[in-house]
Amino acid sequence: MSAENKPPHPAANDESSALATLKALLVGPEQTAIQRLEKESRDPEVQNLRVAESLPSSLNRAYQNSPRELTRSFEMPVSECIEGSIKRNPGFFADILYPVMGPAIRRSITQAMRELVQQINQGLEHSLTVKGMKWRIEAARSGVPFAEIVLRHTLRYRVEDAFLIQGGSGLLIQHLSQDPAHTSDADAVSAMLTAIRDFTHDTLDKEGEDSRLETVNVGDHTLWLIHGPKAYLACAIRGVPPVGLRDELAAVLEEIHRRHPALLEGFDGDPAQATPVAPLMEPCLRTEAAPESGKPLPWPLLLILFSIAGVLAWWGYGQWQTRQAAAEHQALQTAAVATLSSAPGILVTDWQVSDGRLQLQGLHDPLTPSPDSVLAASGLSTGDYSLSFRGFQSSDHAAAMKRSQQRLAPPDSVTLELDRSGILTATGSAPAAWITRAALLATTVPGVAHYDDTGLDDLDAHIQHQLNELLQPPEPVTISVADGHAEITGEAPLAWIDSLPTAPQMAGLNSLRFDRLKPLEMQRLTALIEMIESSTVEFAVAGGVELDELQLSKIESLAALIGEAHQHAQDMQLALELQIIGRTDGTGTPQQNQFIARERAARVAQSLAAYDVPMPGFSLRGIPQAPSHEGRNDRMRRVEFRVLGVEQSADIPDTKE
Amino acid sequence: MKARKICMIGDFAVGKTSLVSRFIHNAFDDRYLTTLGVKIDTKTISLPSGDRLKLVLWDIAGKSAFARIDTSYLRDASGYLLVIDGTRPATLDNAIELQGTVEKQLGPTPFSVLLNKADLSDQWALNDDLITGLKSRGWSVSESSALSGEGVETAFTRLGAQLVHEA
Repeated sequence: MSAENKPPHPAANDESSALATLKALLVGPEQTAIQRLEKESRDPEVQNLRVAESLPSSLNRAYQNSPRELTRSFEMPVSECIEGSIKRNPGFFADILYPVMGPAIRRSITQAMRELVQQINQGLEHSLTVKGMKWRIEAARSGVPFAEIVLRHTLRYRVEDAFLIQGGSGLLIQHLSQDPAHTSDADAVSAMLTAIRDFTHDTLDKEGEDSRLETVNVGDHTLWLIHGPKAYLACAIRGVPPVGLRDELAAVLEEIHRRHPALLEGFDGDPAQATPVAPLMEPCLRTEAAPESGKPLPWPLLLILFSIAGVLAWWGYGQWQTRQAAAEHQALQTAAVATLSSAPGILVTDWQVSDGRLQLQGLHDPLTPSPDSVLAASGLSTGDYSLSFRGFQSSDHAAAMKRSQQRLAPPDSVTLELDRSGILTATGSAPAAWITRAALLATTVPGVAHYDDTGLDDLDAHIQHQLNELLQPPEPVTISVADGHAEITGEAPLAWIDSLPTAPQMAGLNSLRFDRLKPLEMQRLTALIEMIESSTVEFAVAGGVELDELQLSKIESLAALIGEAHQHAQDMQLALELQIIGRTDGTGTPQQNQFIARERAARVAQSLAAYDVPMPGFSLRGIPQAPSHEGRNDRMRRVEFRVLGVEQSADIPDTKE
Repeated sequence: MKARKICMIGDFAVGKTSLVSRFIHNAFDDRYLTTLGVKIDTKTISLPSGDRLKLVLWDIAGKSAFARIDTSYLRDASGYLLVIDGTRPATLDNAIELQGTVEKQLGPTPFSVLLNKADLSDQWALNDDLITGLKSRGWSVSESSALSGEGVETAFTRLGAQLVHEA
C-alpha cells in the first residue's frame, strides 16, 4: 500500500500537512512530471507515437551493434509475414519477383537445353555401338533413362584447378589444384580472369545484371565460372564435364557463401583468412576416369556421312532415273516421228521438242490413218504432243488405192488392184457406162499412172446374155440392158409372157421391165377386129332386107372372123361386144328407113347366129341415112359391124363414109 | 602473405605500363592492354615492417582526352598510383580529374602520385607551383623514371606500406 492511501493520523495532522507542503515545494514539479510520465506510459496512443519515432534509429543502432542477432530476431517473424502474405495475395509477390524470376527461368531453360543437347550427343554417340546396345539393355532392366546410363558410363573429365575469387577486386581467396607445382601465378590469373569477366560483361551485356561469363572452351579444356553474390568459383576442367557437375559446383559455392559470408565480404588478400574455405572446395577437384581406353568410332560423324552419302545416292539415282526417263522419252519421240513420217498418207514437214512436248507439222491424207492413231500406236499419249496438220491427197499406194475405190465406186462385180508401179487394174464385169466413166476418172487419182480395164467385161451384155439364156424369148422379142436395168420389148405369145419371172436373181441386174412387151394374141385380135369392122353386108335392092347368096357367103366368112376374135379375147380375158349396125340409102320416110335399117341388122344377126358364133353379147342398131338433095346413096344400103371392148370406142358416128 | 589490388591510373602514354614493367617481370603480354583495356601483373614486395605483401597490379589503359577510363576495372581496388607525365602539364590536369573520378568510384582510397619521365629534365614542364599545388591537396607526390628506374620501387613500396597501415 502506498503512502498516499494511508488514513491520516490525528496526532500527526499538522506534521503531515507541513511535510506535504514541504514535499510540494521540494519535489512538486518532479511529482507532476512523474505523474505525467506515468499517465503517458499507460496511454497506448502516446506509447505508439514514441515507439514510431524511435524505431528506425533503434533498429539502425541494433544492426550496427549486432547485425547477426538482429537478423536472427527478425528471421522468424519476417518469414512468417512473407509466407502469410504470399498465401493471401500470391499475385503481388509474383509481380515483384517477375523481373528476377524471368531471367532466372530463361537461364535455367538455357542450361536445361544445353544439358539436353549434350545428352543427345552422347546418346547418338553410343546408340549404334555394341556397347550402346548393352547400355540399352541396362537401361531397360534398371528403368533408368538411356541417356542417363550413357552419361553414367562416359564421364571423362578432371577438374584441374579451382579458384575462389572475390567478385569485385578479383583477389584470389582460395586456390586448389590437382598439380600445384605447375600452377602459374594464381593471383594474376584470378585478377585477369576477373578483368576478362568484367570485360565480356561490359562489352556484351552491360545492362544485364545476371549476365556473366559462364563457360570458356579452350581446346580440350573447359573453364566454368560459377557466380555468387560475393565471390565466384572458376574451375578449369580437362575433358567433357557432365552437366550435373555445374550444379554440384554451384552447391559448393553456395555452401561457402552460407558458412563464410563475412570472409567473402571482407577478404583483404590474406590467404590465412581463407584457410577454412579449402575443405569446402575439396569436392570441386573431381576426377572421372574414362571407362575404357581406345577411341570409339565416331558414330555420329559416320552416321552423318552415311546419311549424306545416302541422300547423295538417292539424289543421284533420282537424277539418273530422270535422265534415263528423258532419254527414253526422247527416243520414243524420235521413233514416233519416224513412224509417222513413214506412215502412208502422212507427210511430216517439221517437228521439234519444246518443254518435253513434241510439236509436229505436216500434211495428212484423210483417207489414211490419222496421225493421232499412228502416234498412239507408237506409245505416245495425247498430252505428249501437239499436231498442226493440213489435208492433202497422197500418192502413197494405200491412199491411192482407197481414193480409187472412193472415186470410181466400182460395183461389187468389179475388183480393183493397184500395183506398186501405179497401174490400176479393173477386172470383173461392170456396166458400160461405169466402164467408160472409170476409164476417164482412173488416171485422175494421185498415185495411179495407168488404168487397165482389158480384163473387164460389159456387165449389161453379160446380163443380156444371161437373160436370153434364161428366158429363151421368141423371135420378135428383144431384151436390152442398160446400166443393169433390163427391158423386154416386142410381141410374144401370151403364155410366154405369163411364164416370165417378175424379179430374176442375177448379179448386176438392178431391175427388169417388160411393160412394153405386148402379147402376140392382141395383134391378131386387133387385125381380126379391123377385118370385122371393115366388112359390110350390102343390099342391092332399095328397101330390101333379104340376104342373097353372096351376102350369106360374106356372113359365113365374117362369122369365122368373129369366132376367132372371140377366142383371142377370152385368152386375154377381154370382153368383146359386137354391134351390128343397119343402114339405109336416104330415100323413103324416116320411119321406113328406121325399120329397114334395124331389120337389115337383125337379118344379119340372125344369119350369124346360124353359124354358132360364140359371142357373149351383141347389139343391134338401125341408123337410117338422112335424106340428101343429091339423091339416093346406094352404097349406104348395108350393114356394118363394130367391135366394142378392145381399143374400140363405143361411140359410132352416125354417118361413116 | 597478403595481397592487394593496385590500379595504375593516368593519361595515355604517361608511362604506366613502363613503370610496371620496370617494377615487375611481365606475367601477361602487353597486348591485353589494347584488347581488354587492362593488364594484370603481380609483385611481392617487402615492407619496411618486414612483412611481405603481394601487389596485384591492374595496369588500366590510359584513355585519350575524348574517352573516359573504364571504371569497372577499379572495383574494390585497395589503392592506386596516379601517374603524370612530367613533360606534359595537361596530364596533370587530367590526373586531378581522374582522381576525382576514381575517388567517386572507390571512396577514400590510398593512392600516390608519380611524376614520371624525370629523366627528361630538358623537357620537364612542371614547375614547383604546380607540384606544390598537388601536395597542398594532401597528396603524396614523388618523381620517377621508368627509363632509369629512379623512384619506381620506392613508390610501390610506399604505397604498399600505406595500404597495410590503412588496413
